[in-house]
Amino acid sequence: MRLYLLLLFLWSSWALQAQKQDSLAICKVLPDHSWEAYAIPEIGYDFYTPLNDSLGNAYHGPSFRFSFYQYSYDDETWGPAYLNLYVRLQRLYETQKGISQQFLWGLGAEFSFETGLYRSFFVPYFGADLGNMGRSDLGNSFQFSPVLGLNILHNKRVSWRINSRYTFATGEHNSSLSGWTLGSSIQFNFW
Amino acid sequence: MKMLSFLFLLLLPYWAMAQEQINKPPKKEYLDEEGRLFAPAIGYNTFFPIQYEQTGPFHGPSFGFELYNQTMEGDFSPAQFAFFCQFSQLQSLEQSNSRMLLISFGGRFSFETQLSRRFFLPFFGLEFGGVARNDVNWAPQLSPFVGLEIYHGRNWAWELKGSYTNALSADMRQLSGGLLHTHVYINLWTTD
Repeated sequence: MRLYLLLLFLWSSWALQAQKQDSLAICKVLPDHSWEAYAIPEIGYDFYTPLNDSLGNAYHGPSFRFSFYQYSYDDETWGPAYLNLYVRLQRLYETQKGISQQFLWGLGAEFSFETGLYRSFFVPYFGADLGNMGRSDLGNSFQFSPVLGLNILHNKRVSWRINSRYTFATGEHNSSLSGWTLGSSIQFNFW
Repeated sequence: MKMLSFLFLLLLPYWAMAQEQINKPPKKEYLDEEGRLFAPAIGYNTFFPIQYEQTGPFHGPSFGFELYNQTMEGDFSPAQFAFFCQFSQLQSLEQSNSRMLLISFGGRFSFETQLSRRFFLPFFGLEFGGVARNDVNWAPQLSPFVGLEIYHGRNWAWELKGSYTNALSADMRQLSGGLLHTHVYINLWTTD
């Protein structure tokens, strides 16, 4: 009888171990699409077409973005499943003559249309940023840019997005500074 | 005898598991230091403006503070981060009457989550502030950067970084350019 009890005790410990392994395996089967991240760098390239430029030239150049905070939840019941708070910087060069240069910076936010995200690709979003822009031949202006975009790859480690913005500039040169931007960027989260 | 052999066989895997635990290499030690406050930093800058042909490079000393810096063992956070401010006065190498002033506040973050070495710790970050030249109006500036902490000691560190200073005004071509910066900071006070 004692032997049986001892064997039962030993086998139960094996069974517990096996149960633990099974639980781990189940956890691995169901992917987790939720994440939060801080201080995320992003680099990209933008093409800009002014609304009514007398020179008729487009601009293009690199962009840099630094996201202060970002989340993506797969269990959200209210509100956007994806949120991104950022500051962005754009440095553009005239396409044809290469004389004029343009800068733009803005503080902004982006939100997904959906409330729960269970995938890692094709996530549409909208948002806007506020800031300042200027051109070497026209001076500075306040700017407001609403954005519509798509995260082609939507992942905690790497995200690749394309977006389209319309920049509203104020001041006397508003028609030369306002315009459409088409851009693509890639974001890396190291932690 | 049979029973004893049977029990021995049953206990054998436990013994093997225990042996495996004993033979495991010791856990790696990672840097985990308390936060440091107001560490003074002195350094040197070399600035290469876009209109390099007109003024040549600018160079000069800088002074600043690492307002807060910490190196820790994290799973989902940078192993090292710091917030800093910095003031620099620069002089043109070719035009002796052309001088610049650069003021910046910023944050830097290591790429890694755990650091076990004290040499060559790469980081990235963003700084903002103002840039002025005696013959051009001042402008706000926003500059992303990457860098390397060449040595990270408990009491002092030596840092090297490269940034692109983006002047945010119509005079962007005069005031923007590449900046190479190096400094040494000394940790005087901790948060504990």
